[in-house]
Amino acid sequence: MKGIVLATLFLAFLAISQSASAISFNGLGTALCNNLFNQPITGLGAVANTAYYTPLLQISFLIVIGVLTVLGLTYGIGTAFGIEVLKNFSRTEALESVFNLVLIILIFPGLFALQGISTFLGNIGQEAVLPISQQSGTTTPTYSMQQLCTNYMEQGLSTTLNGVIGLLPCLYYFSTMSTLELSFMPNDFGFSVKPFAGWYPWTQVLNIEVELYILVGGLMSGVSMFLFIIYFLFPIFLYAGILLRSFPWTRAAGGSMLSLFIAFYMIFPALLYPFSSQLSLGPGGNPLFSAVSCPATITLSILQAVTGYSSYLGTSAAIEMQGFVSGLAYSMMQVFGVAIAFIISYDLLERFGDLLGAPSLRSGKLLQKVI
Amino acid sequence: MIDMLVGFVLATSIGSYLTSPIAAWMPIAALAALVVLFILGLIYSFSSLLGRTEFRTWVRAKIYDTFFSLILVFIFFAVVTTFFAIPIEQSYQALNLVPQNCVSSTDFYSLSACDMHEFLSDTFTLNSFLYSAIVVIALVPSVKIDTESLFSEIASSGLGFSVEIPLSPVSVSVYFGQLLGVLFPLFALNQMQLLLLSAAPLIFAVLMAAGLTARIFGITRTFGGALIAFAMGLGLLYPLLVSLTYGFVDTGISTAVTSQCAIAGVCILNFQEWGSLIFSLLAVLITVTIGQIPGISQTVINAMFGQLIIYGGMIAVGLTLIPFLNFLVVDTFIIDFSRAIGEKMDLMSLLGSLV
Repeated sequence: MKGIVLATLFLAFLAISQSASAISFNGLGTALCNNLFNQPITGLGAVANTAYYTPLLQISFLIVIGVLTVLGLTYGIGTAFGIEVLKNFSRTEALESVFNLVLIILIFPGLFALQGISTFLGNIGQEAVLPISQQSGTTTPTYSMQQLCTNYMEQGLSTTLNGVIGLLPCLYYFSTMSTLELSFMPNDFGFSVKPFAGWYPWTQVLNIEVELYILVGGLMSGVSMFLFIIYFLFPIFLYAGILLRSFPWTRAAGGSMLSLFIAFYMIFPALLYPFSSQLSLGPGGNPLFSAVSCPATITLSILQAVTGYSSYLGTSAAIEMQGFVSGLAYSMMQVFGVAIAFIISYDLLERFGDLLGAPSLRSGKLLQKVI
Repeated sequence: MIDMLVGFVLATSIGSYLTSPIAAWMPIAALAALVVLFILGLIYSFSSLLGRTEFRTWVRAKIYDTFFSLILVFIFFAVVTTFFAIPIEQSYQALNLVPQNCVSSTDFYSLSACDMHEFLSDTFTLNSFLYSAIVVIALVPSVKIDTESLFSEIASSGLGFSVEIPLSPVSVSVYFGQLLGVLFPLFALNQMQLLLLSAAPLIFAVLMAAGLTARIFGITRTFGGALIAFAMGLGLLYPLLVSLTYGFVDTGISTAVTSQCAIAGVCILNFQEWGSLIFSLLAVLITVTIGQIPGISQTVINAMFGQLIIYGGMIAVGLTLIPFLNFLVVDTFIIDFSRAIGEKMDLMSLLGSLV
């Protein structure tokens, strides 16, 4: 009786049909990005409301006028007493103060002009990449940080989560079947055999695929969180940078903040956009990760189940690995895209630092030390 | 440590705390400046008598430097008493950069330390949640069916089979373990930031006083300038940056995660609901693993995963990129400011050599 019950349990286990995908994470990325980027102006959105920072610009303007007045006096004293050091200092600092005035005038209307530059750069990159992806003419560039977040979360994270969900039943069945042991031991002497022990390496392959999916998904969500922080927090760096740049002694701090804003608010997302819009596409425009699947439904017949799995581990498994690797290659291209955008942004950070009064903004050395 | 800082600051206002060393040293600095000016005046007079014009030029430059140093002392005193009287925390609250637990902070030193404390608490919460999830997943048994001895009751042939059916998604717990292995050292390293923030008012007050005084004397002028840059960078700019960046991360975590919690019905921010959250996620994963459709709606599943993604993502950015950007700005400021006012000091090179 007990044996019949247990045998029935095992057959019931084998009889469980596998649905192609029990749940799907499509729409998760879009919902998360909508939630993140559409913060109310009375809540977290207040920090990105540039109207709050207009007083800072007004204070900066007054400070620059004050500094120019003092520099004029200093130049006069230098001329009267023949102090060349004072005259040279006044000339240099006056040029910097005039540059500050120009920055204030540029920023005073708001961030529209700067966001327009980022949109232009992002759309240019998208137009350049579209012909290569054989998707020419099918997508209208719609650059925005929210669109970037949606690309990474929806097409990267959601797809990887769907991939993980798709692989779990495979992993489960192969792990279980590889432990099946048949024994023939009359009078406690005989032999036992595990007919499917050879499937164990395949379970290791599937484990690696799950880990790689999670790694790529983690990277996509990390990039999206960074974009969220850039979108809301970095405008503070712009206005605080202009304020600090008004004083000669805090020019370095102000210049580094301005450089951070230009490099990461304007340039970094614009560089990411063309890469991210290709996330859902593989060679010839095929969706990524489409070849990852478990074998079709199995029946109460153990022999059929065994045969089904055995044949899967032939050509079908090879196709599955090929599909996974080609899909992962496109994901790794996104990783390279993030790395390239990061490196270019850091390089521009140093260049803008030189231009804006922070000549010691050498991030590469610091990054090396941190690593 | 946060309580010590808040307690100390509340006992004496931050303005008086910062200016007290100056108030004690200001008469000494003024007296030293007068003595230096007197000596320089004597040298100027003797150089005129001896007809050494190069001494006169040198003395003139030193007199300007000494006057400038004395003016810096007065400027610092004036700036500190006015700047720290500005209710800057009201501006932070208007921008929603103050977490709920930091509303009672009266100045940006205590606010920055509170922000960092809140962030590290969130990180510890995530670490604890991951650990709890690993423990729960590890407790999920696998079922082993062994029929050998049973079949022998039916026939003494010794026939039978055994199979082990794992019920828990093992890969997920392994991944969580790896994540915990990365998060915990970063969490420990970031505790250093809290130590630095707690010492920031002390650094600013003491090093600024020492630097301003040392800058009066010609021999220690460059050293004094470097101290001033160090005090301004670590004592003023760094807490300001932390209060901005980590204030946003803390409020971002609570706002964004809370909205997902409202949909999911369980929340990672609430310790009492961890059990429900972990069991719900586990039930979903086990159900999907055996090829069935979970009994929870897709919207709720998305919200449960969504809060973990947002929480983990924000913690990861706060542990890696945010401190990097903050120290980048502070390091640049210290290098350029110290070069302008005294001797060039590279903070990150010093720290890197130390590490």
